[in-house]
Amino acid sequence: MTGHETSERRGRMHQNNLIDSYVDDVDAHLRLPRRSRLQALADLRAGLRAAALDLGAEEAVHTFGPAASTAERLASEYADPFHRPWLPFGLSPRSLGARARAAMDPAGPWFVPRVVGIGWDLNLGRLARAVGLLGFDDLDDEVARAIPHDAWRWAFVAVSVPAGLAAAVAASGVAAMPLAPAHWPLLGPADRWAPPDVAFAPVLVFAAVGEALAVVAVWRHADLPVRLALAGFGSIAAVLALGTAVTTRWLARAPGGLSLATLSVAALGAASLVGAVVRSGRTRVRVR
Amino acid sequence: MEDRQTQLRKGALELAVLAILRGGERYGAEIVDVLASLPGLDAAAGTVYPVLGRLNRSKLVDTSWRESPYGPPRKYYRLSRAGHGQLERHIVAWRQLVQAMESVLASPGDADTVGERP
Repeated sequence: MTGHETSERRGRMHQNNLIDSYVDDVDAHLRLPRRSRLQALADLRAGLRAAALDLGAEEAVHTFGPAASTAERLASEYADPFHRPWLPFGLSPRSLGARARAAMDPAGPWFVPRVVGIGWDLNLGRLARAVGLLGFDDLDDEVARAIPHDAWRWAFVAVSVPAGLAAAVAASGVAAMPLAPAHWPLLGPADRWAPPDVAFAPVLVFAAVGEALAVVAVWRHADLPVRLALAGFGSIAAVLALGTAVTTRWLARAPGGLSLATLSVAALGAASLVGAVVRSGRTRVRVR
Repeated sequence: MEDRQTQLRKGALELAVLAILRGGERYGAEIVDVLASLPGLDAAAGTVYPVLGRLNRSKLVDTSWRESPYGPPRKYYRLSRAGHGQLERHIVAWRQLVQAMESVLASPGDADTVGERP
């Protein structure tokens, strides 16, 4: 290898190092899902190499600007608004508000990434709109201010009654039943039995979750869609608790598919609750 | 391809909504009707209301509730002062974009001829 070839190779390595180091800097600032990020960085690297042929690596890197600005540009260029993860999950407290709002969006899709955990939740706002209880643009600050506190208290009662009944049925079941049904196949009667305190445990968990959500909805002054989502999902949890309690206590022979009916009733009940709360504000909103 | 076209329309929709409100305040369904009558925009309630919500949150439109002759009160939207300014800037940017794109699309593909005036 001649001296000229060696110095050329060194030059190329230096150029590649400059480009790699710039791409690493951009990567450190880049906020994109993995697939888009890799594509964006690969395109950036190819673009820099092409520019380096004309301008030299140093000038090319200089022309592309600060790494943070390049990352910002790439983030907006490569963000795919239609990207839907195969199985969405969310546990970050920062995303809770946004997810709760999405679950109470009358103009949104039917199913949205779950507020907490993995999977999808029903968009209660969409359901309430579909059954005529909510308009597209009802959830605004004026309506929020016009909702009387009594409406929130009634919402709390509407969640507490099924939750309380569920707890009472569970308590009577634990006291009276030697064994309770704990699992149903979709189309047949219960196929597994357990001690009643184990079988009724999910009832108490659902009831407690429902109550907790309702308490936060009524007394925490978050924005309207978040409060409604809390009240709505609290109501669903409470009705599911009651349905599960009644089934466990008295309907061991009923098919497991009955839980789907309970879920539908719970969802419609929650939509009605949300619609009633919003309507109480809409009828009081200051009209010009 | 469908996604790209949706993206193109989405960018135009905000300007279209602001422009409709320039003529005076309107309620949501009215805005949807006007936009839905323009097939190129392919706008439906599910796309227009989120835009209205965004514009409201960024204080580009103000809202007020008014009695309706046919049922519950309606929410009316009107341009705020910031909205008027934004609309003017959008219009300028849009016209520049259209002019540039017309120039690019009309050229036979030779980069040197793009932007040349006859």
